[in-house]
Amino acid sequence: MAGVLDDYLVDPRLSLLDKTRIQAQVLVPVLRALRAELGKDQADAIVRQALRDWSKALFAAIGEAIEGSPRHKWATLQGALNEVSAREVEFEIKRHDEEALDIDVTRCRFAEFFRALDEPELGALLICETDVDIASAGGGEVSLERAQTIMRGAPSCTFRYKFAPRHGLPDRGRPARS
Amino acid sequence: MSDEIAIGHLQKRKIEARVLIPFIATCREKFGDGPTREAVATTIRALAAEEGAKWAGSFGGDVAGLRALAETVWAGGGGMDIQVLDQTDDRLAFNVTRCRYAEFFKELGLADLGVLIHCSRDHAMVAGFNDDLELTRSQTIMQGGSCCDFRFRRKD
Repeated sequence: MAGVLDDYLVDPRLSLLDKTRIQAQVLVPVLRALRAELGKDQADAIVRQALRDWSKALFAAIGEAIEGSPRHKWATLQGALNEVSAREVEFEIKRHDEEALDIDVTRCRFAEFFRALDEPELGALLICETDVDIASAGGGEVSLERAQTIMRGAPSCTFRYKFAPRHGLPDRGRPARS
Repeated sequence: MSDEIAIGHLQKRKIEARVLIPFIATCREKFGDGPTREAVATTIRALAAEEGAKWAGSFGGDVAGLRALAETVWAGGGGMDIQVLDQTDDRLAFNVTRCRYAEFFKELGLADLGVLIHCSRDHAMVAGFNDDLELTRSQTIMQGGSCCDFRFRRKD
């Protein structure tokens, strides 16, 4: 069955953590070779630009293909992401109402994996920034602020979503990862 | 990192390509094709040699092991169609008559990247698999050939 994130997951039988491990297994050696050639700052800037451009374009395209309001697009995307990532995190919902959704992620296996590799910035690009790009699918109706993440060394990830006023029933999408 | 991921080889290559393609494209924009190709190929060859050594451990580092590897891992799950032409203790000849790895890269219009990050692994893989064996291959589907002519033989 086709899922909304098929273009992102490639193979829905594989967990998101294992998919990310496969990508890291090939990307980390290539990145480290490039750092040896160019220096860390320049190599990291290239990987950052490449992965940010790719992720923004990918989720913008997926979001466009979902019918409905921007907030509905966000909720659909975020809900699909939660399904594949919830098993890798522990989290606490601090507030969930029409105006806001506040979640603290207190454990994240994605962060554990990338921090063990000593590549937290790559982890942020491959995992954490996904939430930002999905929030962008919500246009002006959804905004995300996240002051800290486990990936970057904090004890928790502080997801703070704000929703524009609207009519109708609330969507149930919520983030479940750092 | 875990290597024990239960997924077909073709799917694994597609998942890797998802992040490698934009990375290589950005490198090309910044540094040009030649230096990018060199840096990526060097790393891919090192990874392939490691993978070859791992596969030799799983299948046995001889000609029979190579055939099992090709039929089980590369062609497993329909990744490619293989026609074996000849096999002895010292040589193995087969043609790949359909390659879904090549189809994947060609559909993206990126056959040149497919050569770089997929086909170019094979020679280095053999070195890691068994350095007494060598591969010659005059054409590939990725590069527009009608088949890929894999010819493995024990070095003189």
